[in-house]
Amino acid sequence: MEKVVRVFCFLFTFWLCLAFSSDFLKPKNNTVESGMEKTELYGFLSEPNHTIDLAVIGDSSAGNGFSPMKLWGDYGITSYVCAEGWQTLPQGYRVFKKMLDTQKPKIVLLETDEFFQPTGIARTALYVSDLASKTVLPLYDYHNRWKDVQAKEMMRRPHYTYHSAVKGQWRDQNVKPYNGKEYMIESREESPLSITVRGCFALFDEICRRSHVQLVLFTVPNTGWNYSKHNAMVSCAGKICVPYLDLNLERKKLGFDWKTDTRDGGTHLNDQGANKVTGYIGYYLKENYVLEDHRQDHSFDHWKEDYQKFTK
Amino acid sequence: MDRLIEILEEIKPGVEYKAIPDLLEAKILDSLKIVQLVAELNDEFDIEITPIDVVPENFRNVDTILALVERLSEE
Amino acid sequence: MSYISYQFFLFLGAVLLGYTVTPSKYKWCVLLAGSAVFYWMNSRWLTVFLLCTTTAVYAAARMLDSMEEGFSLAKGHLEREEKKRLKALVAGQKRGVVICGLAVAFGLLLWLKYGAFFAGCWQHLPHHWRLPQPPVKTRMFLPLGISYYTLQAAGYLIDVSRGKCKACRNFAKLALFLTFFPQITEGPIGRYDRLSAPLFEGHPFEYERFTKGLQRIVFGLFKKLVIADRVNLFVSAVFEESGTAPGGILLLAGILYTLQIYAEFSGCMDLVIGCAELFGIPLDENFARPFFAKSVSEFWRRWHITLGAWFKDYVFYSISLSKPFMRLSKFVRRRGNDFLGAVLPAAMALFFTWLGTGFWHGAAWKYAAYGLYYYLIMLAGMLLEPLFAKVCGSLRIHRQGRAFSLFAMGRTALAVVGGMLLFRAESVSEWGTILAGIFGRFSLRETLASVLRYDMDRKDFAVIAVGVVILLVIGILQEKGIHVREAIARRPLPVRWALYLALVMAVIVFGAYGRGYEAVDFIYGQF
Repeated sequence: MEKVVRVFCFLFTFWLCLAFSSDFLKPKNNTVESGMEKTELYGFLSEPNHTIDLAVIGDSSAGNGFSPMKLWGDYGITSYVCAEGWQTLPQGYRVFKKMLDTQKPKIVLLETDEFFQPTGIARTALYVSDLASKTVLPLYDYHNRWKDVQAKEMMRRPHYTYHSAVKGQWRDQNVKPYNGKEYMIESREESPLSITVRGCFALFDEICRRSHVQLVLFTVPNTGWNYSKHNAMVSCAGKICVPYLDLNLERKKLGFDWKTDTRDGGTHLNDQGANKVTGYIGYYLKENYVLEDHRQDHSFDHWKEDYQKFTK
Repeated sequence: MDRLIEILEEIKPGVEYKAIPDLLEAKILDSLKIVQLVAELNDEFDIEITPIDVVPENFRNVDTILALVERLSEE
Repeated sequence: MSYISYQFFLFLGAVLLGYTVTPSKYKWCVLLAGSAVFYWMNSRWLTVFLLCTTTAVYAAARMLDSMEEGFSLAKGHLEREEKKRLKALVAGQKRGVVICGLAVAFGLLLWLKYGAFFAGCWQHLPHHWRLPQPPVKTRMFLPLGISYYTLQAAGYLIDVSRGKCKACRNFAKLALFLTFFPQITEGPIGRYDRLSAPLFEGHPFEYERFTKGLQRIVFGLFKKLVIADRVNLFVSAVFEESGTAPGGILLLAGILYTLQIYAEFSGCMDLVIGCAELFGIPLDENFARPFFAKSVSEFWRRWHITLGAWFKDYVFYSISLSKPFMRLSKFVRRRGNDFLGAVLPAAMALFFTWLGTGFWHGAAWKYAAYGLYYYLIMLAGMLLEPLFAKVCGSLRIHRQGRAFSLFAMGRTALAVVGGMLLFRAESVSEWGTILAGIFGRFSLRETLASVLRYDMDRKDFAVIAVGVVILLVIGILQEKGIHVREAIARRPLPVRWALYLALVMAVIVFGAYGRGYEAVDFIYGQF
């Protein structure tokens, strides 16, 4: 018994050490200079509190496939794209939770490509656990900052100043057409989802319900997509009664053209493609949800400035 | 016994062999010296020391070496 | 699955849990199952080769045992002369069996690891001999740990034939002995007589032992992640431009590379031995403060101990005590040259021992040169010993004194750095270029001016320096016969915990892993 207490005390002290050093080492700002990785992804940290109404979470498909500024211009809806390359669902979950610390989005759009990014059980556990996200993960990402960190930073509270004028979008003007065959061939097959992804999705759903955020699944056009993945997502969304928009099947309505709307021959969209996707999604949101139009609101003047830059 | 000491003296002179309890620990015999010693012993006592016999227990000190020689001459 | 990955530690935890809850009698089965999973995940179908070696050695050892039994049954009723004859007959048969068993084990090793090398050499033979050309294979993937388990299997078979231990009757147990997962990738090369008992008997979970094992694992991680992988930045950067870097930088890179290999290999051994300790299984130590050695031969008794011991027991003694060598020694001595008579057989046996040691490290001429480099240094030491003693005597240098010891350690360390440079160089000629660079372009000013240009900054050097000091202090304590872990365990709890936590946090914060660092594979895991 005494040993159990001792082990417990030791582990607790160890955890204190981890928590303290991760607090010490993690960047106190979201700029490149202060050591932050993926500044575009974490750009939402410097948006004023409770000003983002729509969160978009996803991997590179989402990063290239959605344009918050276009949505603002059309409907006055404020949004942010939290995209990172090769993002897995647990990573998306972690980013979304981070966002909920300062923002109160009404709707979260979850891009589905990341349901098929492989991820191990241990990694998933690390990303979804609060304990780990506060200690182990910052240490893993930022332990090498021991070289740069200064003693006076130690007690400072984080203060975020990086401003993303395009609200997380990965802009790209290149055009490299896709000349391949049609990839959405109807079938009844259903791609299997790994246990970790299913478990993590359940957590994602739960946190949305708890924070009163409406979850919407969507798929940006991508020639790597297929019908069995589509079926998997349909049943995934059906089980928890959330809407699912597969834009691969709505290309006609979007006016989408693989000859002009992709930057790399069918995997990622360019700005033109992103605008088409955003136009469709904006219309969909307007029809089905109540989201405020902030264009007449003076407290959103900084959005207007960013929009002017965007349209230039 | 005396003959053994003589042989050891030839291989490494100036050591008080009888007084040392562990020749290996004291780094007086190493593997090269053991090979020399084995060659001399084989010659002198007409025995055949094989690699099986070359273990630390047999070469620890003068007594164990002598015991080894005696055992092998009887076989 | 590398030893430095969270997957391995999850796997280790799972095996340990299984080991703890299984009844004592079947605990070894858990280890075997774990080892099989570990091996299969690393080598997939190449596991077949491991099974071949295991089967061959198992069958040969069993045959040896039954021959020996038959002989002891028969010899009871025989006359002395007949007994002798039968003994000779049995000895001949046994030798045949051992040779067959070794042929399978080493045949697989030669074919898989050295096949392409031999084929390459074959092609360089003169054309007018009109030899048939073998198909040249590209480098295959090797079964995990083949260089280690082959030696371990061969050692077992020879031990059985020498009567040092009984043949293992249970195939599964022998398989466990050869594949025990902590030691399969990099050794230590185990001996059946010492390892079999603790491996096969079940040990209950013991808290003290468990914590000591963990401490050793963390210390291994410290050596690997904090020291070796950080030094690797500098070393790889310098050897990228080995032809142009200043001499002092090359020398520093040689020294740091030696440090890297030491920290990495001995760190891996700490990890491996610590893992086995969790199960209560003591493995042989592979390092004993090698840089306190006063001569190159002592260095090799302290560095990669189990490899040196293997070559000593099974190659050096086998050759030097064989009849032809004994006869040669006698012949030379009869001619009146006592010194030569004493040194010659050992010198010749050492040649093969070191050639073998060199080639064991890899299939290339530079590895042969690596072995022979140490051979030549040792031989020179042996031949010059009388002269050296005389010089020291006339100069009244006290050879047991502290100053001389330090000098001898420095001299040995430099020789080792020279060897490690050869080990790192692509070829013998590149080694020549590097050595020429060290001596030809040596300038202290230039060295100091450019030392920070090679991927390691001031702070990196500071971390390395602190790390080296820690290793040095621990080394000195151990040389004095102090068991560091026990000494720490006797301290009051706050001191103890502070030390443990400091070590763990040092690994986590100062470890060279994660973004900006490539994970570095164990250098000795490639053999």
